[in-house]
Amino acid sequence: VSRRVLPALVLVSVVVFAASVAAGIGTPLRPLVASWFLLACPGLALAPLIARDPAALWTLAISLSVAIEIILGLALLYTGLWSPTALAAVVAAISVGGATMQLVRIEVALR
Amino acid sequence: VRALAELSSELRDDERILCTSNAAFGERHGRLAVLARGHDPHEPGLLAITGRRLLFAGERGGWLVLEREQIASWALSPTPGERTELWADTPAGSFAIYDVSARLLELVEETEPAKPRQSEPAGAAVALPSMRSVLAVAAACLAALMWTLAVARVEPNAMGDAGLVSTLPLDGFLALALICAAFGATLASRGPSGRLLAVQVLALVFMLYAVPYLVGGEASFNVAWRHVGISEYIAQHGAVDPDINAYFNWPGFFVLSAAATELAGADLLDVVPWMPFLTNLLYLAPLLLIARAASDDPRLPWAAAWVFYLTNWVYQDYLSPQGLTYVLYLALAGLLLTWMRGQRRSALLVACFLLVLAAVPSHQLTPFAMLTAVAALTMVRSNPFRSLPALLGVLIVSWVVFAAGPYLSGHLETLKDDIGHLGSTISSNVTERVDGSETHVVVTRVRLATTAVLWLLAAVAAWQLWRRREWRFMRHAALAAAPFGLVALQAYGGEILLRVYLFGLPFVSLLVARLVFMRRDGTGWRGAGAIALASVALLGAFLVTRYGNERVNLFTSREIASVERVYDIAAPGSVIVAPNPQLPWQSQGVGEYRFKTLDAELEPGAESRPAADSLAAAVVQVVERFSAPAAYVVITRNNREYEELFGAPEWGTIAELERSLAESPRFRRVFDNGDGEAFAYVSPSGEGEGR
Repeated sequence: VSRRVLPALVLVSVVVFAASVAAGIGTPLRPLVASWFLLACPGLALAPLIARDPAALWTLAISLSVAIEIILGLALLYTGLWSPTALAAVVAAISVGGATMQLVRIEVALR
Repeated sequence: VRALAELSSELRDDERILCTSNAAFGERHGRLAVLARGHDPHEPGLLAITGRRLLFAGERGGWLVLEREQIASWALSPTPGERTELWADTPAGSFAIYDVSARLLELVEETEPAKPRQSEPAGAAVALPSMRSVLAVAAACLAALMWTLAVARVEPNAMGDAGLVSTLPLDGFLALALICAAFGATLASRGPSGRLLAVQVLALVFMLYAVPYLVGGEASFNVAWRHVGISEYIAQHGAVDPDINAYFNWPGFFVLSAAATELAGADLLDVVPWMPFLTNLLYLAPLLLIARAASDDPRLPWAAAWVFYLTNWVYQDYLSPQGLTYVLYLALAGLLLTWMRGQRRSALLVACFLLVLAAVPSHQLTPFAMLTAVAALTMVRSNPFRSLPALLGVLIVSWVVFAAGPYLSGHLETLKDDIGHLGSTISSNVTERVDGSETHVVVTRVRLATTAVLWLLAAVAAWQLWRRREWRFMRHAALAAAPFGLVALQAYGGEILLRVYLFGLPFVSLLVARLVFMRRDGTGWRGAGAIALASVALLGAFLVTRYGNERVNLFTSREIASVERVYDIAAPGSVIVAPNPQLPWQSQGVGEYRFKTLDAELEPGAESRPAADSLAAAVVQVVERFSAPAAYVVITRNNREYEELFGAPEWGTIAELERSLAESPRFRRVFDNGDGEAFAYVSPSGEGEGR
């Protein structure tokens, strides 16, 4: 499996999630897409920078996703800026940023 | 050694490593990224040659698997005095591996790689799965299908005091026996495939933890309904109010569930039946990581995960802060156990800090469990970050003092009384729980016995491994023992021993799997039979320990409808009273209604219990304390089931309550749908009467 697959998967997931929210798609597709986006994407964008062994990678992917979202959500709540959409936007930005960083590192390493 | 284990786990059933060599992944050209992942420049690792493939596992996670057919040519450059290089050309480009041993080079020279077979039709090179693989997957699928069909026929209303096991059809038991036999056969085979073990473990997780959905699809367990209500409050108000509920002092989980519900466009109650299955899936990767840190045997992580899922009966994987923060706990333990050598130290430290930072405001107990785990690893000199215990301590104290201060000041006396009082803690956790109907007492005793047997087996395993000087397991033994430190801190509402069991379970499972499932003579049919029998024994206990309370956990659609009817008629500010907490309520109207139970309001241990015919008067006293515009008493099927299972409370029985309310002029029955009924409170002046 190419190292590009995971960052590409994250980028595609962000696009699909954003499209499903914008289009107002209902159950069961949107809950599945949203669960995948929230439980895996931000962590999956960052985890390969730390580990690539599958067990460590998925451990980091899931736990970092949950941790990042809890911390962001609490920050929005206690600052009086609560908004699930804002939370999703920041999570999407982290996912896109991490995935892009991975792709850049791969391209640099291959040159 | 870890790299060798990783390589071994990648081998196919009939594939053997011919030779290995330390090596470093070197240069590559062309489009080799298509074939390789993780190949950092000059990453050291292990190179292996099998009859058919070349495999490389790097120390930093680099990984390469190449079929011999994909290698067009080999070129060796064993120049004396220089590092030895192995060059290979592939259709996707070329690559070099440095520092290869001379023995491996000899082997490569003896074994000329096969050229691509031009004459064979397309697709002929695709290896067909072996018959054993097909049977293993088929058995797992068949078992899951049989189980689904069997559990779907279970009728919640027909359940006895032993729970699910009392109404499970015969084919359900056969399905469980089949998955145990299949796992035994796979684990005991020589060189079992990690993929096959994964399929069977996933099938088991589905079978054991999707039960609430398969039985009827209604959200079960009254506490999950309460958690839905807390999430809904945050979604509606964008704020927390610790005066309403203590949960708002640790809102991390609820913030995430509130946001997820809105982003998913779903009703959180629809997700509740799936949560145990989903949550246990999230546990799998850290469980494998934890087990891999103990041994290089690729079978052990799957065996440990198997034992974990067969013994995770404490039912904390529902929609709950404990269920989600447990993922963070497992991840922290796995990462600390795995990164002993300080690779990517700063990035790992940041990751651990984030896990801890998220856990502290999300759950009262999990941060303390993290603290005991980190302290235990520090004591056995296996904590790569010595500052972590202090950091955790500072975070916990800061949160409790600054964010959860009001809760702390209100409960300081209770918390202070719990510290160090082992006798009362054990009493509230063990002896007071062995109560209720005769069958329920048996269920409770099976729970205690299962727990004791598992802890005993883990202790025996730890002792044996100590004597064999298998020191890597000692870190896991320390983590299995660490949660007992929580007992000295507090009783946690009579649940602390359950949580000790839960926090120690990943490590206890590993030790038990090592002792029972990974014996040296554990291969072949005898080994398969022993593993299957041990699994069946654990599974038999699991059905009773996990689903022994299912009679009161599952709700019918009519009792859900009865509570919704109360929401429809109750004005904001109303008091809603139930005999006990076992009903599907509080999923909406948190902060709008006051939810009270007679178990809590008519305090146990009161000097005199109200007479049966004056229960209505006692309820009047309760509702008039709150000066509410209206009040309702709701009684559902599950309130009665709860009373039958756990015994009647000191204030009286539900039958007496119903009779007293029906005869009292201060209450009027507003509906009764068979599974739920409600009485409206009538004030002396006739004002404030419920609709």
